[in-house]
Amino acid sequence: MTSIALREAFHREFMTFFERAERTRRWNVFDDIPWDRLDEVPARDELALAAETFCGIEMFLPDYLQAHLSLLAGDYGQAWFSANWGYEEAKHALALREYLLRSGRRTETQMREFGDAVTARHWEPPYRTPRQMVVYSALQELTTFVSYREQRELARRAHDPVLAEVYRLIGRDEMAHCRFYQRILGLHLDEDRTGTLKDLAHVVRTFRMPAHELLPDREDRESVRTTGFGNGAFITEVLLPSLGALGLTRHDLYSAAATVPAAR
Amino acid sequence: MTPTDIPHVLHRAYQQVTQRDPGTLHRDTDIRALGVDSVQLLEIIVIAETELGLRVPDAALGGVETIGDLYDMLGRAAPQARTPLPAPAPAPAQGQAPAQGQAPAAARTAR
Repeated sequence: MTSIALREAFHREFMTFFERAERTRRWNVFDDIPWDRLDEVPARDELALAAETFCGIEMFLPDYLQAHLSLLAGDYGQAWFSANWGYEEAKHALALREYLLRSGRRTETQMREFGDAVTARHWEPPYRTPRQMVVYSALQELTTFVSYREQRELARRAHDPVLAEVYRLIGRDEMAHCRFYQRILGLHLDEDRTGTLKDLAHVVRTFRMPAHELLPDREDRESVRTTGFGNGAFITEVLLPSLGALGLTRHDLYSAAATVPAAR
Repeated sequence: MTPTDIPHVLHRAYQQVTQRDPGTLHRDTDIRALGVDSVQLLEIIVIAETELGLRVPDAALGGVETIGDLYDMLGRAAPQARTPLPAPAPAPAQGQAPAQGQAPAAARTAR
């Protein structure tokens, strides 16, 4: 059980996150995406497949939320963050879905069939403790940010102003989520540095992005999902910046890792 | 440890991380072909840095594709900065104190 002091600190972090979100980061699917520029959207199959793939990953939201909330009984700050996070992630899926439909890249029938295929599967959380899930979420949100940043650049180069803006808005949210989880992780480090470093090392060793293996036509989607993640990019774009944000080095991580058995 | 120790240290680090024997490590071997993912590669590099007393800059870590790249990167790495011991402190009773950020040998090998 998380200590009262730590739960109160989580609550303060949530309020900081929420205030910033309310004051500076809110957007809506109907007014803040340049739908009036749909006639400029190019007929590029790879962009549509990428948008559909990321929409599909976001559609496991009920499973993601259930996993987080089931671990957070009595932890007001993190539970309410999860509720807010769920609202924002729902918007991401809706924005991508609306893009595919309004641009004519997918029909209602295609999206319904895709949604049915996605929701026929279930995502299971990869870790069973709240702290390990915080580590996982911090890495996953930053990885997702990098993915959307790459997709935004591809859309921009293809002269698709609508999709580029969708990705910009989503990416900004993902970075805010990442920062929240990093702050929570920092609090965990302050309370139990050794245990938190062990969890960090374990999750880094076993980290996999969520749900992509559950999507239909997985092989076709793999190259679009991993765009921007060449050899070593997870290290240089995600892991090292995450450690830096926590005031850690890779040597701190593996000093802890050496005390626990290799997980694979 | 000297630069000539790099192949031996990497061989041992590979075994420690993957629990497998890589056989002979040729310079042109693709590291991914050895079944090493990027996180395992980072762990191998950290172990090698610690064993060799070197420090590779973060910016160099993304460009490693082959065993030769790894040898060259470690060959170019600067020695690890060591934190001087406080003058009045007595010498440790057993062996030398590890540098800051360096795991004790027992911790490194206890798996």
